[in-house]
Amino acid sequence: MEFHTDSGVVRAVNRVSFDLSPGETLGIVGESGSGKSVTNLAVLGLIAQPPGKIAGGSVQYDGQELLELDQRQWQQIRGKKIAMIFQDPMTALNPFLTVEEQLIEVTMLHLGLGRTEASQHAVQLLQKVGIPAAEKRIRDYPHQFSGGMRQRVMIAMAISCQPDILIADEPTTALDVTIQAQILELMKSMQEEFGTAIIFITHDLGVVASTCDRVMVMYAGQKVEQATTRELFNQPRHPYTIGLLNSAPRWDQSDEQLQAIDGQPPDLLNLPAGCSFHPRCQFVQDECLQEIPPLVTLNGDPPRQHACLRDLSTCKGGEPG
Amino acid sequence: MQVLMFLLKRFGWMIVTVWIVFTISFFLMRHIPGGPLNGERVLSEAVRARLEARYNLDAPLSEQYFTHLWNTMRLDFGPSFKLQDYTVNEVLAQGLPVSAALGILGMVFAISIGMTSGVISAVRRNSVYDYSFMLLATLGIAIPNFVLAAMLIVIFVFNLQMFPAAGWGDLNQIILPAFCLGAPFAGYIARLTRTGMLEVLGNDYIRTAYAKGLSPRTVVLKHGLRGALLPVVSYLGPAIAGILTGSLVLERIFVIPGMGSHFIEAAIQRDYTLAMGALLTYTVLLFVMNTMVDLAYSIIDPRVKLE
Repeated sequence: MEFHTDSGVVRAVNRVSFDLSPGETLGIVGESGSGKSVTNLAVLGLIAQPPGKIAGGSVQYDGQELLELDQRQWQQIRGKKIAMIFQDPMTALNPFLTVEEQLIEVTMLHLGLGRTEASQHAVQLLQKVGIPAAEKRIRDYPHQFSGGMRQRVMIAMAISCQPDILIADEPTTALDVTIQAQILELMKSMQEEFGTAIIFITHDLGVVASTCDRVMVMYAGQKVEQATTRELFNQPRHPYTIGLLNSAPRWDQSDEQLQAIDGQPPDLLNLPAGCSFHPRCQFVQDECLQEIPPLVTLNGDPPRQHACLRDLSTCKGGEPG
Repeated sequence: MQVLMFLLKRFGWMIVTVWIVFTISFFLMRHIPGGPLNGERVLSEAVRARLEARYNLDAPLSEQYFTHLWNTMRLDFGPSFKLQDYTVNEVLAQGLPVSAALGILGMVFAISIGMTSGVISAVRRNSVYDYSFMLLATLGIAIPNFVLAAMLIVIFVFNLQMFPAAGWGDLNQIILPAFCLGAPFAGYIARLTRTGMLEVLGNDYIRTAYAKGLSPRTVVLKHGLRGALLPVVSYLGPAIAGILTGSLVLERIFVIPGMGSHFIEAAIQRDYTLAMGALLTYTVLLFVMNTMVDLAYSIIDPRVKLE
């Protein structure tokens, strides 16, 4: 996944692969600019080309290669099979149209419902996502809803055709903490009801711990680690993951100083040679400066992966073992 | 209810505005050297006195002002000084519909051509369509309408013989002047629509619309166009004012019996009553149009509250 900019070609996402089973929740974690969102926009074919360009790769859904689809075929996938929830519900809803109009257009298009049917369906959806007085509120405009309520509307819109995959791009980042918990709860219950697989993009490890089955960690557009949530939290194998875990607050270590990861996020136009994390890595060795670490797959069920030249399996957060 | 309050309030303001315009123009006009009775022919004292008495010009200025104001409030603009045997009301009743028809058709041209090319330019950004539309738009804005009129007359009247050169009454005769009238506004609206559309298409909710599986056409026309309309709608107020004044020249060129010629002549010949009548009509017209623009704005954008 490349972007052709005035200052050069940015490889926003490189050699990232992941799979998703029905009903599963996969977390994608990384700092801003690590390629989390771009990866998933590419999955939905929503990267504007140009400047974007998918230089190679494959996205398969149900045995179908999505990257070869034409515009019409894409429209059959988007919103119907794969739906998306965006980060900022303030801007992701159209301010000029009523919530009803924005809800019913999806089901009228994909499920072939008539206007009245779609409207009833939309009211049910709003009730399901916990919007009080849904029959009345449905005629309101987005600006008449609070942030949390808007995100509920977004969720209602995303699940309206019961998609197989729901991509949630930082769905709780723009909301305050109590609302965050409610929205996560809501997404979980929707997942249980419809058996939807969820890709959860976030930088909040707390959210990952409470929602995801598996986690993929991304850095500078590359996958650096992938494991089940339990494995990742108990035994991280990439120094970036270790850094992330150390920089997140924990309920059982409230008085401890949080450790930030030193240095700046990398410039994608000018990635360091060797391992792209080496300038910020506390375990850096000479070979890290020359060799690009391959993605090592360890046996297990499911197998876990990491891209580090060193074996950090015995260390825990602090010193290398 | 809210709309009614808004309209009432606006109506109140309109009355105040009209009164201010009336007062300023009344005294301004009386202060310009010369008067309606100055002409090539020098009038004898007796004739002059009788004429002044007939038109109430011999009264003190303050009395004239209040009489005129009272009559104006009753929508009686009085007799025209220069177009004898006609009252100003009659002149307006004859000229206004003509100018209005010309203006409305000009506006229809401007909006339909401008918005269509603006949307196409935005959606096919940097394409041949975009460049040619924007070139035409710039030309439309840059070329004065009397030059455009002359060129179109040469092409469509003399070479192609599709339209008559001048006159009024037939649909054939209104197309060329209305097009000339609308052309610069079409250019402006095209640019505004393009910019507005490009801005709107960069919004998050457009990405949401695509993520729903909507076709590009639906995304642009249903989700994009409303937002892109806003700058165009706010431009319509000044555009209508421009159309009103712009038609003066074109009415001359195409020999159209509209308000434009009366307005100019009245001012030049110190036809106090007619000038005043035309001016106040324009004021009301502009006020009404601006109110309608505000109303349209609030309909398009539900976040806008009428005040």
